[in-house]
Amino acid sequence: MAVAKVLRVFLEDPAAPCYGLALMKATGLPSGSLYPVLARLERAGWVRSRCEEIDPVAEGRPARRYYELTPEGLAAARCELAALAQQFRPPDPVVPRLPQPRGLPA
Amino acid sequence: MNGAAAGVVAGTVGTVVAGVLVSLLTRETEGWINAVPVWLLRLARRRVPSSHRDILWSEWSAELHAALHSTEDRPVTRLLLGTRYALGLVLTARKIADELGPARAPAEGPTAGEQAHEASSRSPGWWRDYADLPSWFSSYLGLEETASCIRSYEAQCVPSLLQTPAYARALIATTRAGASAQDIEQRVDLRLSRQHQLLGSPCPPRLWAVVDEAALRRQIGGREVMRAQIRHLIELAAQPHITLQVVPWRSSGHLFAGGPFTILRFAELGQPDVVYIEHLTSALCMDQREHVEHYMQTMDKLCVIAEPSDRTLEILNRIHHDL
Repeated sequence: MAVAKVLRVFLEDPAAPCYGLALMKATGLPSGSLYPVLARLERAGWVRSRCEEIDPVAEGRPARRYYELTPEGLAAARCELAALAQQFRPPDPVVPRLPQPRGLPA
Repeated sequence: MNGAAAGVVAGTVGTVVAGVLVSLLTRETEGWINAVPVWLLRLARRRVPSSHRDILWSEWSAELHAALHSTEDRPVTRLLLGTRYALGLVLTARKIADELGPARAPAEGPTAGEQAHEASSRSPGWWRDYADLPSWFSSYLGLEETASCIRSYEAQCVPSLLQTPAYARALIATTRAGASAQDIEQRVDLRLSRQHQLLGSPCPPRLWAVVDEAALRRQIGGREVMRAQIRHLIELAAQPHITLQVVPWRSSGHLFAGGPFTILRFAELGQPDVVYIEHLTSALCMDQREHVEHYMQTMDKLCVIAEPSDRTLEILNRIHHDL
């Protein structure tokens, strides 16, 4: 389910590039669960990562690594999450349920 | 009734005293405690196969830096976040590298940002670009690069890691009489890269230098170079990971120390401390327990006879004034 959590965060705003700490916060996953998932997604080509383009000396901090969905990842993630949602949704009641007749066991 | 009032007063006083103690203790131990997540992250780095070590380290150390220096949270929260972050990586470092596999392989070529970052983090073997480096010195650089604490005693000159370019140039020109200008420049360049790699990295080692007052007053490169060097030391000594202590004229520290030496300590468990002593044409690296023990005791003695580090600023200002 860790994968689904990560994908959901990416889908909420596919344009927003995310870095490790932000993703940990948004998914509630610890680093030990998040990074293996990111690595798997990156290897599968669903997610790509790039280094922030700053001058670390001028900024006084090292450059961070940003993650974002690839176009294929975006399509695949939508599909997978929809399928997952389908699987866990209770079956839709097609006919409105009638009140139980009194006196009979439920 | 009186008893109850006394109880309330005692309780209040106790709370205030405890509060003050805790705050003092916190300030005292803050620097030390902050080293915990950094130490853990280094451990995680060790567990990553070398193919992915640099790329994952640069990412993780940047995140840890952000976690520890965030302005949003309280210090304790930041520390907890950083520790949890690093601990999670220690446990899964190998798995992450396995999952990543060939993705993000070094062959993809670093972007400009990565190159700039590489320059600011400790990149292993950076000194290999320097030709004619004696093998004993490159082995030392290899050790120094992975050290978590560097303790150094110097009696004759400012320690290499704390030198300004002009001071280093003057010193190298003096000690290597007859060397070509190009040779001297290359050595200066190497020294500056070494400073940059170590002290400018996101997780710098702790540097604890004990320097004889004579070394700070000896005018290498002339008055202006020396004054700039002292100002540089004043700036460096203010950094949290650098401690500088001065051994005053009146003490005899230089007599029992024998000569300058450096002790390296490593974060990894079970890796012994190393004593490094440089000679004119070679150097000595010792990790035998009895030798290291002896030098460690000597270093501790030097730290005791040196002025405490909170007086360093005052001493440096006085020397700067006298120069």
